[in-house]
Amino acid sequence: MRKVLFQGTISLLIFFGSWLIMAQVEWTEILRVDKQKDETESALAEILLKDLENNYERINDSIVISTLDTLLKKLEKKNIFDREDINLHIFNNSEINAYALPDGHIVINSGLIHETERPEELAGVMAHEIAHIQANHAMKKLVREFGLNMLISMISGGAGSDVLKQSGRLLSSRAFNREMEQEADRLGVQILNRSGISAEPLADFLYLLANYNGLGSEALVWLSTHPELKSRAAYILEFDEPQQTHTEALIEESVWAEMKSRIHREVGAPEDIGL
Amino acid sequence: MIHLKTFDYNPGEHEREKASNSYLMSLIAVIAGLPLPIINLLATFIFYMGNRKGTYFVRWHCTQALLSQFSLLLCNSIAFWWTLSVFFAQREISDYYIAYMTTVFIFNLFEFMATIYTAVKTRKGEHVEWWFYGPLTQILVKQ
Repeated sequence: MRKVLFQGTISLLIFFGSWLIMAQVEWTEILRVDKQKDETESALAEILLKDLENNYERINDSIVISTLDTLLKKLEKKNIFDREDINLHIFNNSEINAYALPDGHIVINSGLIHETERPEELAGVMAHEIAHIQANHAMKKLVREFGLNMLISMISGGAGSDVLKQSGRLLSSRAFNREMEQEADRLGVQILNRSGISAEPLADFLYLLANYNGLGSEALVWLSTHPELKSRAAYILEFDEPQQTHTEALIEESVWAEMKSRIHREVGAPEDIGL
Repeated sequence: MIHLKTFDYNPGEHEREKASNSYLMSLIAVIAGLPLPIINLLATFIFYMGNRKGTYFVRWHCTQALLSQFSLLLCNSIAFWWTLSVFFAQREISDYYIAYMTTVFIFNLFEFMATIYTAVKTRKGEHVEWWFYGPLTQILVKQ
């Protein structure tokens, strides 16, 4: 029996010892795992964006773009993300929606910009989407839904257009689970607060959407895994602790008004909510 | 790691064949069972059950083949579920993951080679005892 115990222990030590020694090798560097992962994300985002471009018109208005870019730069100032890593895309779509795609792309619909009344509200939505990007929620959601294999075959053209449509719908829908949504709300509030912006306008915006005329009560409660708008607003306020509130306006009033009027011209009646 | 030893008696032709087949069974199952590690254990277990009333030499080698599959099942199951979580839950591909997969592959390869060697030797009527599994089988199988 002692012989068995001795040999068993030695076997275990050899196994775990080999594992630990081999783990000291930087395999991920050697095999360029991160680079391959980045390439997959980037190719996937490119496909999804192309699909969006086929369905919606891009808004290239310089005032709209520069206003949103200014907001993004203000959020970047004291935060850990790099402005260069975030790509904004504005589409002419009346749905009140904004969402994150893999590889740092944020899509904002004109319907959402149309509904915001203050720059802080839009900054809040952008901070929330940046948080989704930082936590890599889009990729996690796609992998969970389709599996990495399917995504890779989608990039290489092996998967059908149905998968492409489904993945686009999945990211633009409100199908992030409760944990991911709450994590993005929490991180989003941190991003806002570090930039000296209160999350109160974002919470107000969510309250406003919750009471939005024309939405049936079923539209107020998101898919079963999602917190509804009012409870999200309350959750956001729980974490709101602005360190140094902005004294000057985020965007000059005249610029904001001009941007809103241009968006107003582009967008029809908003039809649905999802951010 | 592998010792050629003298058995208590000289096994007959029929015994040699059955004992050797118990190892071949796990080999065939390795190929058929990938990537589901439980198949290997099941195949060897079924063969063991069919020969549990066989002669001492046959029982001894069926047991050694079966025991060796248990540890493989454990290592390979961890590798299997870890890989699934990488592909479907986007768990990070870390240095530890790649190191584990490499270690498991090397251990599987050793086991594979040892199994072929033992199957050949057993077919010739030679008695092969593996490190750890040999003494354990010695305790479990009574004459």
